[in-house]
Amino acid sequence: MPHVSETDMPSALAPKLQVGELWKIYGTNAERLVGNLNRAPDDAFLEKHGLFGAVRGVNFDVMPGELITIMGLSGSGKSTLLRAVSRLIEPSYGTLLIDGQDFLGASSQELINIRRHRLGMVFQHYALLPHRTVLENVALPLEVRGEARTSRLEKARKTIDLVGLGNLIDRYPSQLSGGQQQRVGIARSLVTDPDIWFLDEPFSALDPLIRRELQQELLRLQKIVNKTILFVTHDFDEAVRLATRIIVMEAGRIVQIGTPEDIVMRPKNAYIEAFTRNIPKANVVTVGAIARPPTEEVLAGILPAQARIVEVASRILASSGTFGVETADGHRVGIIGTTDILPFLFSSPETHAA
Amino acid sequence: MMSTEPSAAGRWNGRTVILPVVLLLIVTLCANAGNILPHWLVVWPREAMLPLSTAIGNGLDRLARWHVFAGITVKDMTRALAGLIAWPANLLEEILVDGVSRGTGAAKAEVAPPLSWLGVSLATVWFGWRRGGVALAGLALLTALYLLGLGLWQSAMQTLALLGVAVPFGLALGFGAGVILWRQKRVQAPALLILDQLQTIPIFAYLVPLVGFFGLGSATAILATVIFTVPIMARTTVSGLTRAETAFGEVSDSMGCRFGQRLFLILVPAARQELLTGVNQVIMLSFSCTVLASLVGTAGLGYNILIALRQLNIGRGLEAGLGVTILAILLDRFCATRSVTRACGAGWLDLGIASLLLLVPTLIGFHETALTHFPDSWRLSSGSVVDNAVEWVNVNLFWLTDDIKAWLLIHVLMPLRDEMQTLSWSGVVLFLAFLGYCARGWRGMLLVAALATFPAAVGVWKPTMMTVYLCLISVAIATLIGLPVGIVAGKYPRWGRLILTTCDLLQTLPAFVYLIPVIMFFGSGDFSAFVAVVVFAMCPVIRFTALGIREVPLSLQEAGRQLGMTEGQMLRKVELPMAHSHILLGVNFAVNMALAMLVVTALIGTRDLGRETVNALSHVDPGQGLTAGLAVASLSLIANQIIGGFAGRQPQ
Repeated sequence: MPHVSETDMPSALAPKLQVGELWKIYGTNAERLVGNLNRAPDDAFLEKHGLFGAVRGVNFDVMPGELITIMGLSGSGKSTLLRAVSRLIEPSYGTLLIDGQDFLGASSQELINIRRHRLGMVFQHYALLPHRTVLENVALPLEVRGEARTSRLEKARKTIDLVGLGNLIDRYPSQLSGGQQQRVGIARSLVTDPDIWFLDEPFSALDPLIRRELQQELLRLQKIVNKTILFVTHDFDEAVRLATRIIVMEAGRIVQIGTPEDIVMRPKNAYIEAFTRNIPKANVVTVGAIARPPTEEVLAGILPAQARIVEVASRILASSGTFGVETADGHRVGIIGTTDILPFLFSSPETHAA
Repeated sequence: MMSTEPSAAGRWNGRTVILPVVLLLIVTLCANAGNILPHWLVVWPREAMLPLSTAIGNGLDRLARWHVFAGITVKDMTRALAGLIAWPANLLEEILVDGVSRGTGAAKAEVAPPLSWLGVSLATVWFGWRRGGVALAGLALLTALYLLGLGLWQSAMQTLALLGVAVPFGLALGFGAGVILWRQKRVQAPALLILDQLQTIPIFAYLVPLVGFFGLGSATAILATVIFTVPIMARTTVSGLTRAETAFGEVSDSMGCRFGQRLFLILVPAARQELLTGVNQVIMLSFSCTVLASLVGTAGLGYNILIALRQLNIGRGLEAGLGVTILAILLDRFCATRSVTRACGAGWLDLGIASLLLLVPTLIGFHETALTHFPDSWRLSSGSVVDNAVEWVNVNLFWLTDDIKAWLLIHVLMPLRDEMQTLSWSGVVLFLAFLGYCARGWRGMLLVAALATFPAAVGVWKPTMMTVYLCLISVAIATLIGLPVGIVAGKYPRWGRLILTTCDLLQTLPAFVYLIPVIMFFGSGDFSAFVAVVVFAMCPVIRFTALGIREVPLSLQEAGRQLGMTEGQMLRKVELPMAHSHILLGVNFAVNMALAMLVVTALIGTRDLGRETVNALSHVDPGQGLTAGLAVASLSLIANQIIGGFAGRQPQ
């Protein structure tokens, strides 16, 4: 996998998290065999020793404030990748850098410190301790790092207010709905004010309506807390709705990295295309991406290039004229009209990506 | 349910023909052993006998006299250790029963009286109220009134003094061992297996060597109790922590917990429920050891039971037995109930009030002896009532009890016993090995064969067969009775609650208590042992059957009803097949409990392995006791292998 270039990211910023040639290999004597190898493993090596690569040579960078979703079917290695990156599972090979500093080589002491101060994680099945109230659950990470009782309860209260459960702080997890429990899980992972936020299929166990609600909640929270997020999901819809970029995984490898629009417009293979087929593309694709080269037609108005089709569709359809498409600095990208957007508004399985 | 039948049929396909043929062959071999087989295959030859019993005896003897350094032997050290172990128990006994005194002989003077019965009762009721509300306070009050009213207070306090050391000791050791095993994944499985088997060795068996090393008295009683309870606590700790770790291990990692935080902040509280089951088990098992403790010369409720047993005094025996049970239940509730007061401040206040309640009557007791020792004139005894009832039964129902006994003895028990005695050891081993193969394949077969050969090879074949005969017939009858009762308990929740509560109560009674009414009705001997074992072994069959029936998935019940099944069809085609493995596990438990009970029934004159261990105790022959104990353990292992194997094979 070639290193992915960061064309659409401000170059002044350094990556928050860098993942290089990361492998997680299972099998008898896997650790020893990889240790003796002294280079990156490859498929031939796996086959020769009868090993299984759950994560195979994964490279990507995450910029500060990005929300990256790791997408794939079950068994594609997405959860293992998240756990390898957070070192809940020790990777077999590769490099991991947080703010340019070696995370994989961190001693167990350093690891504990990094986790206590800079990493937060949300789990699929909430993993709330049943014998602790909401408040005590949220305060737990602070307790672990030795904060005084009053200060940790104070911080926990604030964080619970942030996720909108201020009136339930004395309940026990068993007295809460699934959605409420996951809000507690979110609060617990945010209470230490981490830089990097790992979410492992946080909404998969929830009803569709509650899932939507919490997705909105996550976007709202992200505007406030502005974390660097790795979010695992098997739901492409969710990935598209939340992500600034999507990593699509298959059989332990990354098959495509890109913005939701990239992936919907230019799926790299049939596997990814199958995901994109039922996505309402007008929700994802911007007018900038489908604008035609400018001609001398009369313009009915100007549209911003980053507007999604669905946001401006009613204007275009109402005027039936042609609109100019411009970037924020006034550069004319092209023009767009009713006929251009219709295939996206009524996309059927046959009429995908122009 | 539909899917289970074809697969079950498919599983037996290859063997359906061979099975009856082999069985027939083995049974013929067993029955006509004398005529067909050479003699050495019928009775294990004396020349080939393994001298295990003497070897153990000599080995322990040599160990005891082994000089560690400078003329100090192992035995000297263990005796010193015994003093150390007994010290806190003696201290507790002084505080609770005897009062603190200084000096010896004529110069002996009481420094302080023991804690007043009034003070202890009031403090217990107060704590009960604070921890568990009215229910627990009521239970505490009831316990106090019962023990005081029946004159069991002093014995109960002696029991508490002993268990006050044995229970915490057992809990701490079991928890520690559990944590170590939980960490050491590699030795976990074999270590747990060994611990499980340790538990099947009857306590009688290791009582003898313990007496040899630690002498008679509370140290040996405490150690025997601890050895008996450590495995169950270790096992629940391992399984509780393992389960908690799968659920919360990643959370604790992601928060950056250290080992201590991970264990005590996250995993132990998360495994609370399971650990409390372990605590409950330890308390119950410890209390069930009280009679055995009295065998090595400690006072307490167990001693009362033992005396009552020897004097055939059913009233006193039942009173003391119920005393043990009610005390065990109270202690268990205290440990299991979640504290109502969660705030920190209240704890100190409670403690203050409790000490006040405890100390004021005690201080008054310096002058008023009625508060130190409960006045005899206030006592009452149900003994005469129970005795009258028993007498009435014996006079008026004698024809019934005696007829039942005579009929069963002549037509069932004795023929079976004689038949079992004539079986050849090789035939039995072959038969069991075959069952082992059916249940667990080749490895099971080899293990079972080895285990079954063991009693023959070490020369305890005859008593072993006696144990097997009593065990088989009792478990069979217990299953016959327990199965329908369990089905009723499983199907009808209202009956279920009553039946299962009764089971719980019966199971907390110390095994010895069962003997008392049985002897009164049926005298001593095989039949009484049989009845006691049936009652004792019935509980697990009922409990597991009810559990199995209850756990039939709702979807299957609905599917069955939707197909228009009658109640009978539901039972035969859905519920019983689904509950199959649970029922087998219940029978497996029943076998283990029967084996445990049979050791106890040796006190009323059976001639089986239990008798060997009891004899060993009176002869102080550790080799004989341990050999018989290992034979009992091997029987239980065989049952676990075969029945457990069949239970595990049931399609899920």
